[in-house]
Amino acid sequence: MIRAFVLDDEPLAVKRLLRMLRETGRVELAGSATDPVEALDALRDRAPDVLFLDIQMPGLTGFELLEKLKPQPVVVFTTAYDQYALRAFEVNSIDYLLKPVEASHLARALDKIERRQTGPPEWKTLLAALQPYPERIASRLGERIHILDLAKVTHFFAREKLTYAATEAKSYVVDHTVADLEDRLDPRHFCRIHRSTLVNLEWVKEVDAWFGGRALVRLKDAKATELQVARDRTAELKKRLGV
Amino acid sequence: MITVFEGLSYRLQAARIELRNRELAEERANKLASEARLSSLESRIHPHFLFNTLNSISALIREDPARAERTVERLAALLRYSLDVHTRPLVPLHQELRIVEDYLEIEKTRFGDRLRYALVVAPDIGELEVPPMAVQTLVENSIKHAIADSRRGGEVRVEARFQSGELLLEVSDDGPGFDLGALLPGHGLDNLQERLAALFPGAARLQVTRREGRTVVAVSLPQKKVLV
Repeated sequence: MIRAFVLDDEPLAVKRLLRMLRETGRVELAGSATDPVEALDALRDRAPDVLFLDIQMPGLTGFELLEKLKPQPVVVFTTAYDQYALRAFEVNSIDYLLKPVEASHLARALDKIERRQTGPPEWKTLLAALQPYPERIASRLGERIHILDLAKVTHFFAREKLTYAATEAKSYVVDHTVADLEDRLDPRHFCRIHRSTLVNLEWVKEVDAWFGGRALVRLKDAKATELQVARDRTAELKKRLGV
Repeated sequence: MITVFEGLSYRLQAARIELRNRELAEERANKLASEARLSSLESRIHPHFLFNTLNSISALIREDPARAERTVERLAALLRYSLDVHTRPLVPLHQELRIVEDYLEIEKTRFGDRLRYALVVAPDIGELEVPPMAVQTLVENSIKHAIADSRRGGEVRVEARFQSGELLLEVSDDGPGFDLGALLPGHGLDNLQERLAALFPGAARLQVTRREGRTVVAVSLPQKKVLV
């Protein structure tokens, strides 16, 4: 049985989720709370397998609460509106549910948790070690969030204080700086070629040596996009491309 | 020969970058315009409020069916009223206050004991006119700062009175307060300020003050009607 804890600052939201969890017959309730600050002790004490966690709460947001918990339980975020899904995606959450939660979505989240629980621990560690880098990135347009497959991102570029992820179809604004992305993304795929550009090596078609020691990268996309390589990054790019 | 070729290639590249820059500027302008549209829609009824209310109703359907039904009625009244905002520049105060009470009761369903409120309205001023959603916007702002962001909750107080030819609306709370200058464009209060400026050029005021430990947002509106 999965031991679950529910935390939401709205009492009715807690009641409803507890009832739904009970009705699945798949969960043992480890507790619930409406005050995130008071919940911290209970969570440390009872160490649930999964925490159903609201995001906007007084005193501590769901994200801030997680930062204070070590070790962290598996988290399923529950949110009324998906403007926060962007960050939820990046924190170690297994799923997120939109309120009012639908029974089928709750069942899907429980399936995921059970799958994670059944694998032998060494296997899980191994998998985690093999996939330490994200495969997707989120982009927000107004209140809408696009999830982009990183394999389809040809490059990231900074322009006027915004960072864009370019795909063949169009460019999307992302909430990270180019430097931040360089740190987070798999260096086997993404290489910084300029102060404002991070290129996906899988999309590089040609590198032209250009005058002044700089170079020009031409991509495989339909537009044959060309990107400048800064002088001090040329060597690193060549190394990564194995040339 | 090589130099000429390199020169041409450089100019071609510069032209390409210039074109791309222009495309990006255009993209960015479109994005800003669509965000502005979104925020003006959302400034009336915030989706976060709407979905949380639907969640409360889902819970109440089994817990307390009569209250679930009453909450649906109040939500319907609030939605209908907010959708009609653009059809009427001014509404009688009593209509606005009825909606404010519906709104406060819905929020009370969500926040429980964390929300306490009081409505203090001078007698015989129900027919004075206010822009629709004006008081609701002030109350929503108070709930955000004093209730939703506070563990112990607080009290929201709505007062309305007629004073030297003006209708004075005050919404106060015992929360930590906020800085009017720091509000984002498209925020509820910012929209209200713009609406007031358009409806009563130079004659309506929106002020934020601290008084006896409370944050007070006051709006004064000139009135054409004369009270006897």
